[in-house]
Amino acid sequence: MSAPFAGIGLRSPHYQQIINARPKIDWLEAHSENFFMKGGAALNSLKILREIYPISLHGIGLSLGSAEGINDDHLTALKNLVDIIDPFLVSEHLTWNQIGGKYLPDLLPVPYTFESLEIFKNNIDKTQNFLKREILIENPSSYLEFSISTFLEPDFMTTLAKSTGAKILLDVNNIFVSSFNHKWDAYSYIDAFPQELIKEIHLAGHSIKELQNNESLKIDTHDDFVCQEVWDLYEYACQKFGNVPTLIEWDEKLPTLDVLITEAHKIYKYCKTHEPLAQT
Amino acid sequence: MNHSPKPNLRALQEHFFKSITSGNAAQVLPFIKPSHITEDARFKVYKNTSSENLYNALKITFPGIWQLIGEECARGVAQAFTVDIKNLPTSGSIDDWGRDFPKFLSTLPELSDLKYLEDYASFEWLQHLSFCAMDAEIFDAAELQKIPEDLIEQVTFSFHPSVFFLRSEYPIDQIYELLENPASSISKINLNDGPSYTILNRNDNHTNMLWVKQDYFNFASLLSKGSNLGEAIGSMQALNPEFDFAQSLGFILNKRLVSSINIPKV
Repeated sequence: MSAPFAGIGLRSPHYQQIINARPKIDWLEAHSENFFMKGGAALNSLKILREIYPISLHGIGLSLGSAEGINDDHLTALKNLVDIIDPFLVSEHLTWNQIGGKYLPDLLPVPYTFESLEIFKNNIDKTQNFLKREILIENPSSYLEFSISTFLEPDFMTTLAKSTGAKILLDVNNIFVSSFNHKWDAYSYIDAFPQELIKEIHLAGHSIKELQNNESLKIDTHDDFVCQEVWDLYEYACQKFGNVPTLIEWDEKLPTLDVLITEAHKIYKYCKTHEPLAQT
Repeated sequence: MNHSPKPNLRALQEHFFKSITSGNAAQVLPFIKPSHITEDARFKVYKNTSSENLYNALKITFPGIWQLIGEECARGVAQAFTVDIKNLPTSGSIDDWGRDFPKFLSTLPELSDLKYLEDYASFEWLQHLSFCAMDAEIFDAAELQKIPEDLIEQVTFSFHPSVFFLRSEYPIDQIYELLENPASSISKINLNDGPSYTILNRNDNHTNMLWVKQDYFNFASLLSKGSNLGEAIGSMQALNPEFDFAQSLGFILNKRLVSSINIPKV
C-alpha cells in the first residue's frame, strides 16, 4: 500500500468543512498541542477526521533542544494524543523553547555542537522510548547562527538521526529561508542528506522583512503561497528522495479550503515520480 | 573577535531567555555569528515572534477584554503581563495559558476605573476551560424517578466536567450581550445592575452561558460541591423559605449540567 502523499495542515476554521465535504487530499497534519485538551469540539473533530484521512501529529512545544530536558507532562499529553489518534507520523523541531519551567512560544535556535548533539540525543531517546515509536525531526527556519557551532545543520541532523533512529522531516521552505538568511547553498543542503532518512517534506510560504542598508531577512510566516524558488527546490528534493509525504503548511492569512487544496495538488505536478492517490 | 568565554548550552539558553524577556540582548549578542546583517536585527526576529505569539494567545482567549479596552491598550496590557517572567507559560501547550491574566488586570492602575474587567476576564477564562473540558455522559433525568423516596434526599450529583460557576458584582450578562450583539436593545450598561450569576457548560461541542437567578446558582453550586439533595434544599430554604427546589432541580437537569448521580447504599 502506498504511503499518503499530498497533505495539508489542519486548521480550526476548516475542521467542519473537511468533515462535511471530505475533499480529495491524501492526508492531514495536526499540531499536537492544539489537541491536548481533555475533550470538546476540537478533539472530537480530530477523532472523526482520523477515520477519514491518515493523520500526522506535528509538535511545536516539546523543546527537544532544552538543556534541562523535556517536560514530562508535555510528553505524557503527547503520548495520550498519539494513543487516541494513532498517527502515521509524529514530528517535532530541531529547536528549544523551555527553560527554568517557563516556555516561550517560538522555535528558538540551538548551536550545533557536540554538547547540543548529546542533549538532543538524550531528549529524542526519551521521547521515542516513551512514545514507543520513531519520531521525525524538522529543520528550522533560522535567523541567526551561533559562532560556537561546529557542525553544519544537515550534518548535525544526519548525525543525530543516525544515533537515535529518528528520521527527518525536511522543510524545504525552511531550507530556502535559512539559506537566504545565512547565504547557504540550498541545493548543497539537500544533497547532504542520505535518502533513507527523509520521511516527510513541508512546503510553505514566507515573507520578507526589510532591514536597514538594503538588507533583508526572510521570515517563515506560513502566510502565502509557496514561491517558485521553493517549488524548484522541492522538485530537486523529489528527484533525490522520491515519494515522500509532502505537506502544505498555511497558518496566517489562512485561505479558503479550496485554495489550500489547490495549492497542495501542485505537489503532484512538481514531484513527477508520484502518481496521485485517489481519496475515497 | 568574540572574547566571551564559551558557555554551555544551559547557560546560553538562560542568556537567550533573559534577552528575549528583558528585551536587552547584550548577553546573547556575543555568541551570534557576525554576518552581513547585524546580530541585533537577527535576534529581534525571535524577540518579536515570541512577543507576538504571546499577544495572540491572550487575544484569542480574552476577545471580550480586547473589545472592552481596545487593541492599543490591550497590546500594552499584554506586554505588561508578559514582561513579568512569573506570568509566562509553563508548558508548550499555550492554549492552557492565561489563568492569571484576570487577576493581573485588577492590579493595573490605568484600568482601575474598569472594575468589572477582572470578572469579565474570569468569565472568558471559564469559557475556555469549559470548551476544553473532558467529555462525559449526561444524566437522564428520568432515572431520578426510579430512586426510592426514602433515599432521594441522600442523592449526590456529579456535574459535567464542563460546568463552571461565576458570580460577579457586575452585570456580566449585559456586557456579554452588548459585545456579542452590538445591535441589541442594551444601549447602556448600568454597573449597579449586578450582581450576575453565570453557569457555563458545554453541550454538543458548544459552550453555553446560562444567566441564572441567585437561587438556581446557589443550589447548583451546593450540589456541585458535594452537598446531597436534602442538605442543599435545607441550606437554600434557610436562606429563602420560598425556595422552589423542584423548579431549580428541573432547571439543572434540563440544562444537562449533571453527568451522574450517586445513590447511597442501603
